[in-house]
Amino acid sequence: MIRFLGARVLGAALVLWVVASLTFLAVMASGDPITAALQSTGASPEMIDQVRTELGYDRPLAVQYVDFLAHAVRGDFGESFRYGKDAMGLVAGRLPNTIALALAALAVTVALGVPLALAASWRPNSPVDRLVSLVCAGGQAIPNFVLGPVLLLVFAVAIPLFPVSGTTAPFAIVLPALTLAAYPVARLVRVLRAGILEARSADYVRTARSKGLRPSRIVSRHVLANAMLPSVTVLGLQVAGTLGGAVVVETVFSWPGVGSLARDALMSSDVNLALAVVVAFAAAVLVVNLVTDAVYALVDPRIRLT
Amino acid sequence: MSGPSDLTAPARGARSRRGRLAGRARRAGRLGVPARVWVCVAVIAAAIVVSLVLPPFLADFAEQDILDSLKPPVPWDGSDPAHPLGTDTLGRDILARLAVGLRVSLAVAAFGTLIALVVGIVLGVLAGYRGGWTDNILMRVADVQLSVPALVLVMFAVTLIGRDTPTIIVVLGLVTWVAFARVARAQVLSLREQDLVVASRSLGLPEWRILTRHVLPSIMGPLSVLASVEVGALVVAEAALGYLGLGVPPPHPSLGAMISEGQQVLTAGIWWPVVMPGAVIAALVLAANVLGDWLRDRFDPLSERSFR
Repeated sequence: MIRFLGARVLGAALVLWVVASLTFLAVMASGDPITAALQSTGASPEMIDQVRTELGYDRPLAVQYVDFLAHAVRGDFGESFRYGKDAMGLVAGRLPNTIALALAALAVTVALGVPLALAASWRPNSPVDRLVSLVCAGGQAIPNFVLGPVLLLVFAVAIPLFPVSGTTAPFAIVLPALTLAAYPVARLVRVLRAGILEARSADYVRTARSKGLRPSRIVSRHVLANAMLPSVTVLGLQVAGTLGGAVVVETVFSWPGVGSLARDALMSSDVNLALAVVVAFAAAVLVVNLVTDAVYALVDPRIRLT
Repeated sequence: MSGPSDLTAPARGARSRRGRLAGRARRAGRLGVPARVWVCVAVIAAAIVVSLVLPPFLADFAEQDILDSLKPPVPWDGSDPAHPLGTDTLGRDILARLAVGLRVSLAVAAFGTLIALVVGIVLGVLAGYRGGWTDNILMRVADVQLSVPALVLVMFAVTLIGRDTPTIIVVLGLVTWVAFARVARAQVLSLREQDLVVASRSLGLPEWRILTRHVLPSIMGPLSVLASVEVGALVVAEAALGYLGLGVPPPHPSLGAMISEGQQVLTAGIWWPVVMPGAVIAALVLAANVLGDWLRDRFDPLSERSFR
């Protein structure tokens, strides 16, 4: 287990290094970020040269790259051009909001997904099942930048239950979390429903019934426990997509998280901030993938991590 | 039996595979294609026709008329028959903007998927067939790419390279190739040791011939399923870029940009600038997904949906 984790952490660090290097080189290859950022402000060529020298952009690329890496491993991605603050510090400041949103979306996914899957698999092809599958088809087809505004229209404008934007009101997180959860819920229901139907006709469930176990216990310990496995995989694979979705959802609801920061950084060509955000996103995905593997081993005692 | 105990027995509605297939054949028409699939094909065809044929007959998509701003769509009070789907904040015709915006959406979805398909097949088949270091390198590249959310990667690339349609097509295509490469690789891995390939190899056929004439046709089924779903995903990705302000620059309409412009007047209860493009995107994606599900059932009856 420890050896496995060590190897995985090493692999993740390697991927992170490649991501950081590639994004850095891509930025450098696309042209000089300082000139691009300052030209629109009407600065003279001399002033631009002076700023470039001050910030070290006149050095050879290899020197800049080594310098970038040496600082990046300590979490230092330089100052954001736009905010004039430490780039990674800005990301860290926004992180709690994004984590709160992601956890709320995960809670919504499980709280809606499991009951819906149970209801759908109760009697396959029943009206309930068809309704659930219709809802899921909708959840997969309606993009979050459409669902978000429609939820706002209904639950913030027509029926003013929730605020239109921001984080301050008590239930402000409800609509963004629902929007972000729509797609994962649909995925979870489909996978879980198929898993439950398969587990119901498995031999171990028949054995459990003939032993006279309470039905509730059969459902929770035998049917759901086995159907849960592929669902954990699916939810884990969903993480990168959900973080991408957070960019859109945070923009829709003016939610001050890392996603909307990413969009602002890219819109204003804030190179250092953009680099910090991309590396932070990659790190988040890699960490969650590791956690998913560990959860997998916990949920299924048959899996040994070696 | 009552309560949750129902869930502890095999599902009553779950029929045998043969029964399922028979039922499916009965429901489907003579060609074996159910009605819902025809509806999906019709939706996609309608989108193509509207975007290519309609614009010359409609109002100018860029023409502004403040006096005509925010007219509701036709059956509602105060609507104008000249603007059947209403007008936006600047008084521009929403139907015309939808039709022209759809061109970009469909071009991005079609050509982006094509690029992803070609790149993914070539690299995936090579990795699966050759194995060894080719395979290793490819899978590591995929790991790196999948560690960054696709949308963030696309936003990053588009800001660095440019926001014109060809760039968006290439970037989205190159971000999507991993999915195709993985499926192609997995298919080839299982195919490599099967008799048809082993026999071709022992007959002394050249490698490229084995790959193009024997391997490729056998893996197109699962790849076509993925292609269908990816077309929908790319429509969404292009619109998401537009929504975030990183799509095709204005004044050219983009479905996503229309939604973000419309959201500014949403708090006043003005719904059509958001709902109209939103409904078009949702309909397209739904059609692509249902088509993909149907193809999946055709090619792989034991998959996720097979209990249906």
